[in-house]
Amino acid sequence: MASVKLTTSDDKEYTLDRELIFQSNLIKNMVTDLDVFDAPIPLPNVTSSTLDIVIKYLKIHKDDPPPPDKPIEKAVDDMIDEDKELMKLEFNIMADVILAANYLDIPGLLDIGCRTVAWHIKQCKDYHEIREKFNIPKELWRSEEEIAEMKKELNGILG
Amino acid sequence: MNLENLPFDILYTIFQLLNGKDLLYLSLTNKYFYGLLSDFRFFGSCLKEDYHYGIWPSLHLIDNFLNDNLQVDLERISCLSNSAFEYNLITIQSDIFLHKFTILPPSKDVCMIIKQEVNELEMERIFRLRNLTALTIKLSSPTVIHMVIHQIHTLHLKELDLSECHLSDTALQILSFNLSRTALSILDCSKNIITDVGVAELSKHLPHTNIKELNLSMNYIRKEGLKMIVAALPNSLIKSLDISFNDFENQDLCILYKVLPETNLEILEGQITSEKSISAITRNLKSSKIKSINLEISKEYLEEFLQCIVLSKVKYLEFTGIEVPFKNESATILQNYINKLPVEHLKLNYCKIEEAHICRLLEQIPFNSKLKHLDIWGLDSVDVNIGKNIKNLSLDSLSINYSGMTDDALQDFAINMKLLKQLDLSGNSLTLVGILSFVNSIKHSTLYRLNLGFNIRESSELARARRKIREVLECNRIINVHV
Repeated sequence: MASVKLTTSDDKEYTLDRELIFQSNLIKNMVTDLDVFDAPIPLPNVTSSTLDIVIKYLKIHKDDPPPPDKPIEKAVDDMIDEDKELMKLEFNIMADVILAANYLDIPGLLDIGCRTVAWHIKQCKDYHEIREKFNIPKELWRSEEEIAEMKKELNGILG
Repeated sequence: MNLENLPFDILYTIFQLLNGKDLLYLSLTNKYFYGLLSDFRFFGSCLKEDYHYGIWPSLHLIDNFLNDNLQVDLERISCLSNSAFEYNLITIQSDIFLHKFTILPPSKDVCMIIKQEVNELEMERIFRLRNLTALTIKLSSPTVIHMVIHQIHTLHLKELDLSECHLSDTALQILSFNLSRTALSILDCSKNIITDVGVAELSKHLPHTNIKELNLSMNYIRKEGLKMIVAALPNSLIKSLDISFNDFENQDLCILYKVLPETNLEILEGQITSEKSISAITRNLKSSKIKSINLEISKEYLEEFLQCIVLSKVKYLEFTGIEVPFKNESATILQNYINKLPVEHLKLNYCKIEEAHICRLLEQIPFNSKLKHLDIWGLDSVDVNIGKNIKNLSLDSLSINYSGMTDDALQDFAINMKLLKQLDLSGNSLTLVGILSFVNSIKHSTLYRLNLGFNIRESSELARARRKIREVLECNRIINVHV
């Protein structure tokens, strides 16, 4: 079976089955449109530890039918147990996986990444917990100028 | 890595999976999320379900939902009680609500807009809120107004809006006397019955107050009153003074223009229709602190005025055009100066300019121009050419409103707008077909805010347009569209 070589940002080289990695639309288009077969494809935005998780996902879903064009409405935590297990990650790592899924154009992985983040937000009892869980920096509130600007804009909207 | 570092389209996907309450909590985490989610159109576009203003994070519209969504209301108040808010704008609509606000802890600043009649007892209760920093009173009885002006120094207000309160000279005199004992920085006394007598007392106390913004428009102030207020300006902290629509002649404003360099004024409103006023402005503007100008000007003085603007620090320039419309000849003069102006935001209101002149004006704006925002309102007619002329512009936002623009012009906009982030074409003659084809062609543009309101008037067509636009943009990056 033909394979595709990838190099991560930390210079680790991977050789993957085409069938597996073609779940990534980016790689699929690069290989088929540009006829890149032998030369390793650099992935400057993806580290090897992130790619390992991505590959785990690709392996779980290698026999899935192609995703529908229009996303189906489903509950936030409506995902298979293997995916739930895979997404048991710290937010830092999960964010890297989401960014990698976005970059590599793997809609299914992006979808479960976003669902997991949404699910975690839903589990928070208040905004303090959201702030802690997602490392959201607490900034100073608005300056007087911003408030004035905001009020001006609002008066415009309200007429 | 934190949540706000995720790209905007990913955040938008996540937001769409949350319900109103989750979004409300998220908006309270920090300024960035509050900024995003307090835009009610954006907030609405995130929620798949029908949403109620009651769960919108911003408190500005709180009066729209009271009484029928008390549960969320309470939740929001409990959020507020715990959050790091320093400032909240709260509108009081009902007695029950007023009562609930007394539960806010004293460390939070609260701004109240009272839009309905409150009685003395309720006013007493408001006075007990030690965290009240801004107060707007509408439709209240003279007794309540009397209470406010007498007890102002016992409150911790920074803003007070007493417009349309039948405020008399006597009331203003009492208020003025108490002002120096307050930390008030914004005072609005517009649309009242104030004359020179009240202004005399106010001017006397003004240098001893912290007031930075003062609105005395739509009263009965004459030239003598204007003189007194202007004389007090150099010793005061006032940055913005609105004294329009009073009982003095527009040319009397020269008294103000002459002292500009000695004042702290940053905003200037006025009318240049005489030799005297243009010479007062040209002599004094450069050495003043004025950053924002909003005025009417006759075409014979425009060139001289623009020459003076070129050397100034003015960032915002608006030609109001209500009494003196901005016409073709003025547009031609403006063409010659548009690339030299330091202005970042230019607004032409009620202009009577033909399309060819506007096109020529747009052509003169260089790619590296300082101008980032251009608003044009009420052009005579817009046909097809205007969209072709925006090709080389590096504007962030462009508004062309109430100018009879048709669908044909829209397509050129779609092709030629490159760096534009905000486009406002509300109030034109665009149809459903034109709007839909336009929205289809801008899916991948840099635009994030598009206003096409007041084009389609038919309510069934409007509903269809909103549904279709939502469908088209659903799977793409967020474009905030208002129809």
